[in-house]
Amino acid sequence: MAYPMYEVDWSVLPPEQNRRFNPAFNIATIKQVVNEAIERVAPVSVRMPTPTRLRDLIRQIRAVRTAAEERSVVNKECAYIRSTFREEDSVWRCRNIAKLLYIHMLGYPAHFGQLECLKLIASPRFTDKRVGYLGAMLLLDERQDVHLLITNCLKNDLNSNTQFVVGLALCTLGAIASPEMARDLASEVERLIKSPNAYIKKKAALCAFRIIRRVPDLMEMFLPATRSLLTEKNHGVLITGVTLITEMCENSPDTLNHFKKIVPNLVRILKNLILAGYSPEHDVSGVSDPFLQVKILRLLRILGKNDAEASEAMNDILAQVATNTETSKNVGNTILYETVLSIMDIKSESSLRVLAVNILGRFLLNNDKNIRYVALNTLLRTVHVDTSAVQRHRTTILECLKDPDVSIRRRAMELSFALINGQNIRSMMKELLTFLERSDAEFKAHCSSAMVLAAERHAPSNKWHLDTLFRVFLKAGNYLRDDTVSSTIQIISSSAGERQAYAAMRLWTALERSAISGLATERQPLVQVAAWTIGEYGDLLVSEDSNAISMADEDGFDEFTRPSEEYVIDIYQKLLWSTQLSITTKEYLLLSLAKLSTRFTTQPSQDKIRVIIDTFGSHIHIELQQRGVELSQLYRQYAHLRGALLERMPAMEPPAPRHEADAEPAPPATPSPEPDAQQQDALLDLIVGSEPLTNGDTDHKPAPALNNNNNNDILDLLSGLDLSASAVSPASTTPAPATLLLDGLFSSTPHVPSTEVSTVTALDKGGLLVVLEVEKWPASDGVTLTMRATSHTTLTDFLFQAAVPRTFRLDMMSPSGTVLTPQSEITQVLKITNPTKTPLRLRIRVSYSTEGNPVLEQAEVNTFPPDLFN
Amino acid sequence: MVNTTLSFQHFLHNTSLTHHFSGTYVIDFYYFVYFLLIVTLEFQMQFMLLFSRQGKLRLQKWYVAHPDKLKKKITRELITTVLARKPKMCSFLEWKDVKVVYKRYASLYFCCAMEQEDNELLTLELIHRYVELLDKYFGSVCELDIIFNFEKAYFILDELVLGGELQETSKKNVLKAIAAQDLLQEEETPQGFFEDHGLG
Repeated sequence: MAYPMYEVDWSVLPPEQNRRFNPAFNIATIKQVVNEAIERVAPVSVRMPTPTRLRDLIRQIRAVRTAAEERSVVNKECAYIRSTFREEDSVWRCRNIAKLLYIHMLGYPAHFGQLECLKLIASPRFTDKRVGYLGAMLLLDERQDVHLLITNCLKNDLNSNTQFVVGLALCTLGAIASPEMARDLASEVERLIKSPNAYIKKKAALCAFRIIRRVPDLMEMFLPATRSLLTEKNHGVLITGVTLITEMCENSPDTLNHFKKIVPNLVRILKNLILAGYSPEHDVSGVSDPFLQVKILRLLRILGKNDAEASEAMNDILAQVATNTETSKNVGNTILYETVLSIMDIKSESSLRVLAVNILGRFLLNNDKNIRYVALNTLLRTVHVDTSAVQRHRTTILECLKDPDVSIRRRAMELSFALINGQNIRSMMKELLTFLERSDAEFKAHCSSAMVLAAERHAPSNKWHLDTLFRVFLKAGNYLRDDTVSSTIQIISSSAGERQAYAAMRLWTALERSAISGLATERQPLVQVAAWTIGEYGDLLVSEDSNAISMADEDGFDEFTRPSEEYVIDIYQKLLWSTQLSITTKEYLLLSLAKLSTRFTTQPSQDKIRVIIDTFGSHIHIELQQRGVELSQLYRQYAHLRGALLERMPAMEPPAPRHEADAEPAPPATPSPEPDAQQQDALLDLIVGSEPLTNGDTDHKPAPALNNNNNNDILDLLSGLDLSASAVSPASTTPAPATLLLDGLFSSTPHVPSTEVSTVTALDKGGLLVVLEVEKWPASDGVTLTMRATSHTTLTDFLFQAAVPRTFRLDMMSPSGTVLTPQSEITQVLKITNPTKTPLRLRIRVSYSTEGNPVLEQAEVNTFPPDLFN
Repeated sequence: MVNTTLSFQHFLHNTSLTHHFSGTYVIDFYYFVYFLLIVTLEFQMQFMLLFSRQGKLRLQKWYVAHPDKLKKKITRELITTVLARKPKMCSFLEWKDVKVVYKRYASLYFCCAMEQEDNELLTLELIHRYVELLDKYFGSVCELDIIFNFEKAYFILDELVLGGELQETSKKNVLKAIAAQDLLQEEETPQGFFEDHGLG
């Protein structure tokens, strides 16, 4: 289509000066020409030259070649627009705002147009109002207080006689209503819902939807008007009515019950839609109003959930929709998709469920990628309802793991994990290992930890379990979660002797290959486990006695060649002297090497070990240097202790059953009776403990209880004569004061530790307990909160987030960790300053993964002591 | 004190934990807002973007309140992600906390961010409905129509969707409403010297 509005040659100017003749016309020339024209024709009262037209500006901007040129054109125009705003030019305001909106879309700031939009809205002209409201929706939102200034204009326009003016006002209200605005205008909206005009009615219904979202308390006043929306014939009113009711039902259980009685009405509307003949107005590829059908199906799902009676009333219609809908087009599948979700969610008949799963099966085989995606997504949502039905599609689902589309692969992966059970674990794991190897980095972490969990739960045998773990180690590389290393070591440690030799030999093969191919850096968790295992069972690795153990893999290949002692040491040397391995990995290797000195028997290997250990006596890293010096002492002064100290670890105990961890959130590390185990523990502690040093100052775990007491003494001194406070202080159980002292030292905040500590439970859900310990600062303008999270189950990717109102200032320290096990806790310190001394409210959000499923919890904490800031 | 969820100012997001100054992590304001709005206001549609194959934004409609800086960041990242996808791939993208449904029509990408639980196929239909309306209004619409008449494209969208929810399922009604409003505009625009007082 041509652009008659701006291509037509229609001007008072001579053709050679017609600025619309050439789109790339220079702006300066345009202005000059316009000025001349005004002088020629216009009365003197026109102060400003005619501004550039919107289309001309767009054309100019499109004609520029570089970003710098564009900036200069835009800046020039913006400067001009500002000047017209300053001069209160109302004739061209509308055009200038329209240009500003275009400039805004290009990414330039346009906030200076906000107030001008308000002036346009207040103008009686419809053009001004239309552009003004458009500008308001684009430039304003509820975060800016300016938006409240239009409340009055909105109120006026909601009472206008022109339906389109009312429409514009409703549309804007629906887009930017804040709670304040919602409260002010709710009654107007309620009145408009009852309007006989369908155009206004539908918009008012969606405004009510928005108002309820922002201020749920206002729901009551809309209830009477809402019910009657369903008796309308107009589809716009029907769909907005259903949307509004859906929102109300999700809002409160009482309203849900209130609306149970509309089920027959909804069924009737849906039936009419299906049975009615062709209606050109609402037809989409042969389906009558799919938008309305989907909305009704969704509302039925909410009403029928956990309600046998309501479910009974909708069984027939769902069956009808499921069987009668044409599936050759996207529209039909849209409705089927929604129907399947409803069938699976309500208490439907079993035959209906079979029908639904069959529909999903057909979806899975569909050529359309979108339909396949939806099928996977829905199967994942329904797998908990009926696993066996989904199992039938396992092969197809596994096929989807190889899809080039990341969205489909992600869904297929999630679904595969949901389908793993004791019977299919071998074949599933094989597929997933292939997937893991090829998958993108973003999948590796999640996929590998889910595989480790699945293997732990369903392993058919110990040997298979170890084999699978080793493969995961090889393929996931450094993406593997940290705790997998220790859990694998624990499994090996508690295995039978023959299996330990087997593990050592397997891991040796993997370690040797990684070292030689230079891939060890990418597989550090593997190196760590291998180092530990070979260190413990090195004698079994080199001994000919282990020849009886079959090293053949599933395909019958035996790739294992028994290494000589010296060759093992050579590989260790290669790894230890590599610059790429992390300190932690080297610590594992060094300790393992020391252990090998009592496992290996030949003199040359002993000498080599000693030389390597001695070189670490001058290592640049203090931790490794210390290990090196200490271990080399075992060759000199304390040589007689070496054998006993480096003896094999006793079998580690499996982790305590999860439910026992309730009573004690953070049990102290159980000291093992064996002295060598203690030494091992101590060394492991050092290995583990050396990490947090680098990532934060809030790790309390290494701090022994004794320190706390000391700190409390200091606290008592500092808190002066306030005896009651120190008496009630539960601080003896918390290391938080220590942190506070340290913080005071490091961050130079001039506050002294608190005198009062109280505890607020922020979240207690599904075994996860998050408590906040509140400490007042004596200066009373702030508090320190210590978040402590404990859980009955293992949670990963634990992330605690908090938000406070604008008048507060919140500083968060780094958390003590991201993996929460039943034996441990995560702590995090929050410091809140409150200059205005208003009551503290805190919104928290906790996200974590449990068994690979991400979980999100939110809560608002407002049960803080009221006198916190007095 | 302003008692809305929107007035919460500070929010800590893990990915923003990059700077470590004297034991205090600097809080990224934008991640805070991002979390609150995307997570707490579960609008059906959170935003709709139209952009060209070259990655130029042609239309943006936000049904959630974000600071400009964050909107730009989201827009930029999303455009890059969508443009990187191959034509044979499915129209859905799980991106951050939202589900993005997109479809390409000639040189333009239409892109909606929805709630995770929403019917993705229906969103495709919604996009298609919008394209049909543009097509009817402009008469076989092309990218240039939307560039030069972006305000009309907004007006049409506002008659189809309100506050992120569909308000009208009849194409005829939408076009009728737009035509009537265009007429109102024409009637009050004085014709004559320098053509008009409208947008030009």
